[in-house]
Amino acid sequence: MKKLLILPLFASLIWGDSNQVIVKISNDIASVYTTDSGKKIKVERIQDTSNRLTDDYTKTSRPCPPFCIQPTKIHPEIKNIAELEIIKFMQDKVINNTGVIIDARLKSWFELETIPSAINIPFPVMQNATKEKAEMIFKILGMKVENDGKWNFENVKELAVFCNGVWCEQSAHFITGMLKYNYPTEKLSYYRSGFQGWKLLGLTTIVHKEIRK
Amino acid sequence: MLDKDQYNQEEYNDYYKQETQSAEIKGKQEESSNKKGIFILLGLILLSVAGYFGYRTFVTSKNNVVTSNTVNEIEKNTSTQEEVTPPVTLEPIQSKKETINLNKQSSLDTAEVNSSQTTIKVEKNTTLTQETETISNTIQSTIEETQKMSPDEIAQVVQLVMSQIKTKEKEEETLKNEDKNIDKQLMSELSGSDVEIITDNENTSLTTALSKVDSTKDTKINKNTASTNTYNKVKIEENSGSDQLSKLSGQISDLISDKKTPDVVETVAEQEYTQELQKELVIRENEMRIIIVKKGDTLGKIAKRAYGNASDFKKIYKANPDILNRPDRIYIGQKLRIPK
Repeated sequence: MKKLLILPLFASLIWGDSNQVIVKISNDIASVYTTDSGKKIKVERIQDTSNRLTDDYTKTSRPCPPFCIQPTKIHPEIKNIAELEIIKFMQDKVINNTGVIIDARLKSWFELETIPSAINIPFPVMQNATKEKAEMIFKILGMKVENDGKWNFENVKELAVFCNGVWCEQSAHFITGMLKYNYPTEKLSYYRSGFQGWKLLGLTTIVHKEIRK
Repeated sequence: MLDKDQYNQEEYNDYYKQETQSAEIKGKQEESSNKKGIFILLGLILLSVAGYFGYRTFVTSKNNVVTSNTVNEIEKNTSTQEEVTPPVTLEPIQSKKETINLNKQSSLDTAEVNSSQTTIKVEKNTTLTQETETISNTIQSTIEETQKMSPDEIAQVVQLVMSQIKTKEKEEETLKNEDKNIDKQLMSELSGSDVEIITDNENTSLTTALSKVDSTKDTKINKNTASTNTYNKVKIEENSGSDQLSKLSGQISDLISDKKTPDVVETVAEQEYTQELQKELVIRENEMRIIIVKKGDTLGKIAKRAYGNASDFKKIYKANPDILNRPDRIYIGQKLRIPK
């Protein structure tokens, strides 16, 4: 009898505890930590359940061309990823320095707002890179040049590439530039929903440059 | 030998005696069952009252724990911001084990993947176990005491508890009224004007009044707190890290800005696409325009600065529905979006 009476109390206590994080990332993950520019960043979702995107990244219509809806696949051998894979990428690849999240947008877009721990390689850099420049970029990403001059991509970093979202082809241009110089397709992933998809879920973002009035 | 009448009389007497006895027993049983019913009812009332107070005490203490832990976490984060940290920091394996062990002790399945909250979780569950023990002890002692009490004593105890509840409710109502009075006072001071001046003192008194109001049932973030990062954005001025990711980012950045290495000339189509992106950037920058509310600022003053006309304050109000509850309520330190 006593147990029966205490049971509802326990239930209320547990219910109260589960209320701490209302909007989790997934069933098991409330938040993760990563770093950006040497600072520790907590990646979580906006907890205000009444929050809506207002003005910020809510534009629906831009002239097409050039801002057309992108095909699902950029390349048959390049895998598409979504938000949970990006978060897993942060945990598995970025932590071990075996992967990098690439923001392929122009620098000015990157500076306004981006995904935590992403680094910026604007798409024109790869699109218009000479072999010499591509070699320099690839070396930074872990490529080795053999004695016979061949490029060894065995230890290059895995790249998760994104841009503004489904209406944006900056990732496509970046990836085309990478493939032109034979960056291995298995080391590339495409986050098609891009930054707009990230914003839509209220996930943490990084602002490098504030536009103050 | 008994004759017929005598036999009937004795039979009647026996029957009457049995009936009377059974009626008496039945009456006693009914009486005792009624008493039992009242006793159980009073016990239940007492239990629910004890449960109500126990839960309230728990919620209050839990909030305190969370607040103190949040402060600790903020301090921890601030201190770690200056340290050289690995690119991604995950939950230490050792501390995760501690969490799981403690969870087992408290018989609650609350294992979490979240790394940073390990410390908070441990403390919360410890508090939870203690609270639960206290509540169950209170209930047990109440039951024991109730069994010893007479019905009159129980009634007195119930009356006492009920009066305590009423006093609590009155206190809460008074607090709410105080908050309403502050609102009215503010509104009356600002009547006849579409703008308002928020001073530090008013801001502090409002924050104090708000902190007194029990908001445990409200799942929404308090919009009036200036420090609340409503949009979940983290501002980073410059790359100050020395970890591998920061170095890599710096190297790439240097390489991009190095103009000694010539690039392939852009085609016309590529140039056009970049130009279109620049146009979109202007729109994006306008979406991102913000203003930080300073002392003496009002929506009208901000609108005057941004658009040259104070009556355009509605534009700002509409662009910040998640921050502004009313156009006449802004607070120092708030970051307001200023649409074009």
